[in-house]
Amino acid sequence: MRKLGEYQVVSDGRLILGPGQEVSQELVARSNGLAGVRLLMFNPKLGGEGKYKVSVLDNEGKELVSQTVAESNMSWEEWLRIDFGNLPETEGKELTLVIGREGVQKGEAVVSTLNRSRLNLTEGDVLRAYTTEEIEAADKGYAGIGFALGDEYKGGVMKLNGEAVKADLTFQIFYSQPLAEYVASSIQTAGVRLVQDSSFFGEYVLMLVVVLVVIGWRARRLLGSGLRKSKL
Amino acid sequence: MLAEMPQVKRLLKRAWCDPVLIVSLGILLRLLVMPVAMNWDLWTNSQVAVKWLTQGVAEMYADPRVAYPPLTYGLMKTWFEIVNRSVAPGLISWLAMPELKALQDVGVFRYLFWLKLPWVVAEVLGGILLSRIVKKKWRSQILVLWMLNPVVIYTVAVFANVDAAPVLLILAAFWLWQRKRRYLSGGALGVATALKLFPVMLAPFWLFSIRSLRERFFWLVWYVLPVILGHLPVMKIAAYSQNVLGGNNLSKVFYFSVEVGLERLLIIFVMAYVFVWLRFVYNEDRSLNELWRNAMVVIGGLFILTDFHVQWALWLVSYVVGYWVAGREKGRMAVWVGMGSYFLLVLLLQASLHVGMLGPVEPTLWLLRNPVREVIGDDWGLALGIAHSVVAGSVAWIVWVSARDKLEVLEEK
Repeated sequence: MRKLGEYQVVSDGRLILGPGQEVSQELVARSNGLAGVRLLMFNPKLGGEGKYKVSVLDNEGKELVSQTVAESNMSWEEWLRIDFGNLPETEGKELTLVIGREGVQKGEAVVSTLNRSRLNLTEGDVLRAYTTEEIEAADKGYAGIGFALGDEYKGGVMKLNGEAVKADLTFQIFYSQPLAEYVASSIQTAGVRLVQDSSFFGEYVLMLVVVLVVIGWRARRLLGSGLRKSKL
Repeated sequence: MLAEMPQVKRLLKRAWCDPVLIVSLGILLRLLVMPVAMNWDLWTNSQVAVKWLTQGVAEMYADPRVAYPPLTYGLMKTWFEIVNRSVAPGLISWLAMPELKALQDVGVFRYLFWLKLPWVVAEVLGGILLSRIVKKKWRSQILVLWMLNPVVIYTVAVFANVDAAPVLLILAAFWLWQRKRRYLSGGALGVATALKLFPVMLAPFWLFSIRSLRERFFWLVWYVLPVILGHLPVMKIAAYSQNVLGGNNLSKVFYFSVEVGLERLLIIFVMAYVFVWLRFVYNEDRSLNELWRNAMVVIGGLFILTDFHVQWALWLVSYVVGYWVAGREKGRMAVWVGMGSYFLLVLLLQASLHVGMLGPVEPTLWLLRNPVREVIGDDWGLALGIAHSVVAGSVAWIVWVSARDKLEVLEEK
């Protein structure tokens, strides 16, 4: 069973995964068995032929696993699911999720400027250097990936081409768990949250107790009168 | 041990006749599911209602997710304000969170409980009221059939279907009619229509149950007044007619049609509705039970001739449980088959209508799309069609038998 782990679901915009653009997100795995990731993709070229590489690196930069995703499998503002199988012994490890266009490419200045501008890394109207057609071609030429400005995910930083930025990728991490463990851990976590809201927990238990007392009282009354009648 | 069995059976039989015990059992079941199930409709409509608070009614109706008339959103908004200031502080900011964050919030169970409470109260009152308007000999049985009904519990305590309020008011209209309070009955049906639009389909039957033209006029005034008053906030909002009146529900009702000429459609539900209504108008029988049976034919018709929403099942439950008690030997199998295929249909639809609703317990479930479809593959559409058709067939049988045998469910006074 796939279970949701870390996530950051706020999306303030998209970064263009054009030539030479690589986006990464650091995170700390909460469980063993990292099974996959979902990324919020914006693909303006539905059915396009481009390919993107998604990989997971350990804290030394060693690639643990990777997948290549075709542009044709991406939609506009849809979660893209990437399965990695099952990475054992990931609990507590610092990992980096990396996504970029596959192959060696020459970077496009306009794409880089657009991305930096969206991350508030530029000053002034830097896009003035480009024509509307150039900007549009860059914006609609490659798939984009969702991100949130600020520090929405506390577990690690996001980087654009290796430079740390004040933003976080929009992502969901999944872990593989046996069914019994999955059910038990879900109920346990839900139970903890219910108890943490102590005033509601108290009110809720009180309501249940009141209803159970009424049921018990009526059942006992019925049972009592039933037994009396049978003795007669 | 065996000798005790008849005694146990007798006790159980007596337990079913104890209204306090039955209502308490029903409340217990509702209490258990209310805080743990979240539904997409509940989430989006609550967010929409909050928009009225924060941005005003016009902005709210500009939201394409809007689905209800202003009275329903007005009640939701008022309720949110009350609970946000008392028992569920932080509710309004919780509703502004991204869904996954909201599902993992510590207060999720509290908020879901209080969000659903008004509709659950309305539904429980509806069950009690229904048991008061049926023939005396069936009161306890009806209460059991409502309070422990899986369809009722699923549509309201789990799903948080706001239709619980209009259904309660429709039953109140029957109750008032039974007590010869005809104008008040019109008022109750009017408020039901102001809350959700579907009770408008019943109004022409109520109107033509009255023989005197004068009384008919005054009934109409009592009916129309709450509808107009309820719509005052949206009189000048064009988006209301686009998003609510011309919305998804109406298109479902009009979808099943046949082209009978260039630019001309024969809408099957509308044709059937007019036929049933005319039959009612020219029928001498103006009894309460005839009104009940015709309401059943109209509501049942939605399940036979349209691509109904699963939450609409609540509209039909009172008539089906009435059929169960009054029809007795005339095919209870139809109810079992209909209910079984109804839940099969629910399972075949997107996860947000079944296992996905357990998102507050395990947020991963909220992200599932349609697990059954992924397993079944290409045959999913056929399976869905079969489940839908079995529900439609069962409802058709129930409606037909009720009309053919003139089943008398309600107490005539």
